[in-house]
Amino acid sequence: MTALPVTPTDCWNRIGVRGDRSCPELVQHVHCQNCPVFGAAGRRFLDAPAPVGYQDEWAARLAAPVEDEGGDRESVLVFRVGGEWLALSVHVLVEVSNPKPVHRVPHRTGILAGLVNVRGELHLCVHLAKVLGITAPAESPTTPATGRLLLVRRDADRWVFPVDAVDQVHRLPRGELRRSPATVSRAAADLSRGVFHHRNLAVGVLDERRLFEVLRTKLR
Amino acid sequence: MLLLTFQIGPEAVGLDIRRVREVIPRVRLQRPTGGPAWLAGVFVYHGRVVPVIDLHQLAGHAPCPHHLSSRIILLPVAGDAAGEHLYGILAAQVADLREVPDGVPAMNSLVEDGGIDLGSTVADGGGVLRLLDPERMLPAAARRQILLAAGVPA
Amino acid sequence: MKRLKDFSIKTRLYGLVVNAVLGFTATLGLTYWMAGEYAVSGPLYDRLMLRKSVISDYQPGPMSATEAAFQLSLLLVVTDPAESRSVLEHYRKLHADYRERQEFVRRDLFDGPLKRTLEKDVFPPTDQFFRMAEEEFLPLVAKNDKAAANQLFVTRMRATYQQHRQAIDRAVEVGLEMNATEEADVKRKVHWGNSTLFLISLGTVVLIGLSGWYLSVTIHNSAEVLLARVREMASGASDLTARVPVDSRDEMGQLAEGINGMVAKIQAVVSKVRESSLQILSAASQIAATARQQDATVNGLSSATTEVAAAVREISATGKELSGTMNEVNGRANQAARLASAGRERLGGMEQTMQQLVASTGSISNKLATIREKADSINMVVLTITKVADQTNLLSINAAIEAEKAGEFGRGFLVVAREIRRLADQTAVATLDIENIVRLMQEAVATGVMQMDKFSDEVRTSVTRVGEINTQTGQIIAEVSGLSDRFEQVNEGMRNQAVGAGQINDAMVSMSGDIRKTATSLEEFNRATAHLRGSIELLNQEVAQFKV
Repeated sequence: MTALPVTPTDCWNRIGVRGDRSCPELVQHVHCQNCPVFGAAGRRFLDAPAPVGYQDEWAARLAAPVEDEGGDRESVLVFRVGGEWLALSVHVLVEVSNPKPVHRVPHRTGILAGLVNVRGELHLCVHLAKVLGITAPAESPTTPATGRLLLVRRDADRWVFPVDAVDQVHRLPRGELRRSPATVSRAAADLSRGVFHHRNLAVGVLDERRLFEVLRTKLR
Repeated sequence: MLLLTFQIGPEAVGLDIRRVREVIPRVRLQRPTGGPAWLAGVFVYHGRVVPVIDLHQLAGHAPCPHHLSSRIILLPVAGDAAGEHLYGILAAQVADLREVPDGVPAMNSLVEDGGIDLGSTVADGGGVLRLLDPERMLPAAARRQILLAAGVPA
Repeated sequence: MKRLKDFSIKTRLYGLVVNAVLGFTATLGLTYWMAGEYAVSGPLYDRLMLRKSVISDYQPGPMSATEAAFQLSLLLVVTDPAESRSVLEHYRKLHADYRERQEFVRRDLFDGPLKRTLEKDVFPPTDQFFRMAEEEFLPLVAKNDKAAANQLFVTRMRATYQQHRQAIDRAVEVGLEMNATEEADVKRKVHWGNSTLFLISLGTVVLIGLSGWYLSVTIHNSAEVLLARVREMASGASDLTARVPVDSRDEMGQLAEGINGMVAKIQAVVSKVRESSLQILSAASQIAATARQQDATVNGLSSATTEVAAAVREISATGKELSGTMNEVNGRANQAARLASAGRERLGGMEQTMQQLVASTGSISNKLATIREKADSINMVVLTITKVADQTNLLSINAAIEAEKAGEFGRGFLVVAREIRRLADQTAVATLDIENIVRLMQEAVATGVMQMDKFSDEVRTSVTRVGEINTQTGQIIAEVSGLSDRFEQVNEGMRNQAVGAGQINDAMVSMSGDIRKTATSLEEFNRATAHLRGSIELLNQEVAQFKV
């Protein structure tokens, strides 16, 4: 066990957001996370000595020379929608955030899930599964714990895709893309540039240009 | 400007992050024999040998405490803009960033002979800080030794 | 009035002598006179004789057959049968008288010439006469042969009668002769007798007088001496050693002896009395002392008995209390036994429960161990998270650095850096919280384990103890059952004690009464003793007068 100093206060547990919310600072900071007391507590956490082997771990990590990843690489974000693993160029990515409430727009169904408020701005939320023809669960599925919202942007268009899981940003060598297999649906095949293997998974890289065109068309 | 704040003994010190290459955890250092006390040791950073100065001891305080927040700030050796040669300074409470408005009035302070220059003092809403200037921080003798240790060709 | 006894002996003796003399003299005189008056040929005798002779002159005696003859002759004359019968009757009577007198003479008359004469001369013819009358005459008369009868009568009977008469005359003569002789003799003797008597009387009187006087004097003297002695003794202070001289063996001497003996005895007695009185005095003192002791003892005894009575009452009360308490205790013991029995049942259940508890504690201990393991694994996780937090914090710093370096392009990244920073803080705080919780948890677990162990031990101890208690309870039950009997014994003992106490009480009460009586007796005793002492002292005083 790390010999952490016992925090003199855990006001966030008592009078803060996790307590009875009677802390006056909450008025200003809204959430304990924004309060400097919280930050200071967090800082004090780091007063503990390093765990055993931690420093050596880092020493080893840092000692290794940086791999030169030569070659032309493209960074893509790997994610899952339904049963399909997909990837999207980070250039169009703005943010990956936690699921947020989607406000259904009446009389508009299909690929449009609704409107989502991200950082104070409303964005159109689209069912990628429907767009790609992926067998997805019902229209309003219970988002799995790993569900995320992808906020994408190309030029002036902004879209939000709810996805079931986000893996990581992968530096994809350009020549690694293969052809999409036959199992992929036509829509998906049209909208993907190819497939690459990542950790035994076949990841379909989406063509952002075409995708956005489709979206623009369908949601005019 | 954004300052990286840390402690040297009792002093709260800040450093412009534009000057900082990286902040890394306090890795195990190898002390060269016969070196000065403030030379905490050297380690290998991506294939390069980097010397580390214990600022606490250099400033005449007790050695830097072994907290998780006691980290090594990697700085390029003076004059080496390319950043090929680095040295590290070991300080405590290396965990916070603070935005300080540009042009804030700074106060110069006297420096003892042979001591380190922690820089001018600035004050803002968060408190009083010493604005560390890496170029002027080290005394001349130390600077030479650092350059040696860093493997900078003379 | 002076009684005869009150005259002195001397006087009485003198009186006696005088009386004797006087009496004697009187008697003598009287005798003399009587002798003179009534002696043979005295005046009275002469009168009697005269009368008798006159009477006899007129009275045909029975010895004479005259009357009979007359009657017989009447028979010859009388014609009336009634008269003749009466005559006959008369004759028979005369005959019977004659036989009677004849018998009398034969029997009682003293031998002498008279008797000889009578028997020889008088009786035969008379007898014959009567025989003739009986055998011959009367039968003839009966046959009314008066002529024959007459004949007979005039001849033979008359002859016989003549004989008879002559004999009678002769007898009478003889008798008279005898009488005269004897008279003279008697006269002579009487005269001699009188003289002698007179002389003797005189002599006797003198003798009596002299001897009487002498005797009375002697007696008087002796009596005087004795009297003096006795008076002396009676007066009080006398010499008990002195003795009356015993100079004779007669009654006075014996009396003197007796008095001497009495005096000697009195002397002995007095000296003994002296001795004894001293002893008695001392004894009386001792008695008095003892009586005082007794008194004190009695008092002590009285108070002791009171105390004893009180104690006995207390004992009684205590006994009753104890009895009551015993009963209570018995009841409670029984209750206890019942409770113990009930308790035993519960213990059985409890034992079972405890076994279950032990099993449960084992399971709880296991769970606690599991929790500890989990806590340890949490700690491992916390360790990891710590690293993560640290790295996140670090990352935020480095991200900010890179963002700055990226200049314009890095602006969005700064936001990210800020987010990362916040995340790091959250993680750190969360980790702190977790650490706290884990620490608390581990403390709790450690405490829990400790308590579990303690509890387990206690349960095991309890199980053992329950077993012991069970055994003990069983023993208790057994003992209580036994106790009941003992209680009964005790109760009985109590009752006996109560009875005994009651008896003691009664005894005490009676003893109290006795003591009171004793006290009273003691008082009386004391009084008696005092009395005795007084008496002794008086006696002493009295006795002191004597010289022994």
